[in-house]
Amino acid sequence: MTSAGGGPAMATLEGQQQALLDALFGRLDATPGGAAAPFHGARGLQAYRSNGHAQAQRSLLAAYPVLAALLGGESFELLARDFWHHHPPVVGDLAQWGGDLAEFVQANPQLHSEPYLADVAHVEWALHRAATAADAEPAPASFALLADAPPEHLRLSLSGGLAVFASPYPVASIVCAHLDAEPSLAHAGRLLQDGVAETTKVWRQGLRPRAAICAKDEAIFLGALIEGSTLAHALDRVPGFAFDQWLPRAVGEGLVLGAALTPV
Amino acid sequence: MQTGIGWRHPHYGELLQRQPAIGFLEVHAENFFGDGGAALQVLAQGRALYPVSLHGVGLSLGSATGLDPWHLDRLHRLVQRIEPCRVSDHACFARGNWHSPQGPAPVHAADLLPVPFSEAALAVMVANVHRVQEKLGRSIAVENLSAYVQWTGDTMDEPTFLTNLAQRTGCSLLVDVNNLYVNALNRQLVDAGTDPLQACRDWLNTIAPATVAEIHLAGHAHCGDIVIDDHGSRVCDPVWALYRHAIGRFGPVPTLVEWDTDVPALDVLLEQALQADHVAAEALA
Repeated sequence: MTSAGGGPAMATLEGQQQALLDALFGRLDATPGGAAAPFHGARGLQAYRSNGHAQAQRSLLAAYPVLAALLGGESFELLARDFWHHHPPVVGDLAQWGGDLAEFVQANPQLHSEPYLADVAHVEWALHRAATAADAEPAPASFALLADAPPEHLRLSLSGGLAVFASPYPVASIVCAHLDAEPSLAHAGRLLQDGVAETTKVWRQGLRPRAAICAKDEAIFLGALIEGSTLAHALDRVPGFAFDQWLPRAVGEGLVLGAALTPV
Repeated sequence: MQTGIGWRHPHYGELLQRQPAIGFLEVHAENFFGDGGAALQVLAQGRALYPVSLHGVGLSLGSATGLDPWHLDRLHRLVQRIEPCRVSDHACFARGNWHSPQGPAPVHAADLLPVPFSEAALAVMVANVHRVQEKLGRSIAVENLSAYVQWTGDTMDEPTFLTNLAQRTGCSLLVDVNNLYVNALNRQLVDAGTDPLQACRDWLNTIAPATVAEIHLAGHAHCGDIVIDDHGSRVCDPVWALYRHAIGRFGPVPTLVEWDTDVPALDVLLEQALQADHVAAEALA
């Protein structure tokens, strides 16, 4: 099998390509390319840079529609452009790019007055990931195991992309108000003003990524399941958890797909 | 109808419902790299109705730093799932390193950046195409670019580069006629003495017909001081003329109408595809 090896010619080519990448991703106020650059076409460089910025905005808008709505078009565009230069993509699928945006938002001094934005971004990234998580078919017949086997020998099969995120802000309400219009934006705003903390669960109901408020005991229970705990261990984490009442609702929402025996 | 269309998100549902007579669907492979979800299900439904051409925009076949194993694995998985009629990507690079404020860092530019037409660049692309073809167990088609910067020190022209690539790897060529014309128009902006149509005909006449597996048609945008291949409008008359010339030279090659920006009603794409069929029929008569 032939492979791209080293050698002087290869080093030169790598240097040429690095020069162009430097020109595209370097500081925004830098002049792209220089007199010594191994390429020419200043207007073309500008076109590539503009296309990169447009790609950044489109990709992040697809993953972070709520953050975009909260920031407004112009601010989101600037954020996307800044993020593109500080955390450029490293793989050729832009749907994989943007997972660091929450930390980037949190570190941005201009956004310190809106500290909930980073947590909104965390939840939106979880939704974005859930959308392409592996498909898993519900197995309703498998719930018969709950009656036949001890919980020490059982695990619950969970929805693809299931995640739980605790925040000191009403992030579930903010995200759902924007994506599902329930609760209202006004209600979510009042929760924010009142300093309400919320934990959010994210999962996929069929093909639809969903977010919802998650009660404290449910969050602990789901966290244990996500870690791979048996049903018995997960229940031990939340004494008094009303599992029998929770399960039918969780199955109806597509949160839990079935039950399986743990390998002996 | 033999011509295919680029199948983009705004037309997912309508196309499945109407099931128009088209030659094939083309999708961007990277949009279906997920483990599961709605997009893959839609693609599977489309595949049940039409042949699908998987067109990549991110393999970065010309990168001196080599291919991304993750990308190649995802493409391989998708090819196995979809069993496409063709797999293609571009004669470009996007992957490499740059001098970030924190030091050298890997990057993927998410764009189709030109490679120098040099022996070194050819050797890299030959190696990378070999690797892709070995992984996929099939040959791929490699597309010519619209290029907006030019490298100093090219040692061959683009048709020679692509012809050598095909000869050394067994890959085929995907000839984007609109890209040829965009490049020729941009050269004319620098040198008013050039004839864009003749330059494109000369380019097409240099390519061996047996190497051409697919032809792409699209619109472009005149931005005053530059012409951009934006896939955002109807195919223009000079590109139709070049397509007629290409079909006359290459024979009945599968053809795609691409539209990626400001995607219009599905009927507009179907009308463009029908026009491509008519032009091809005239050229072959």
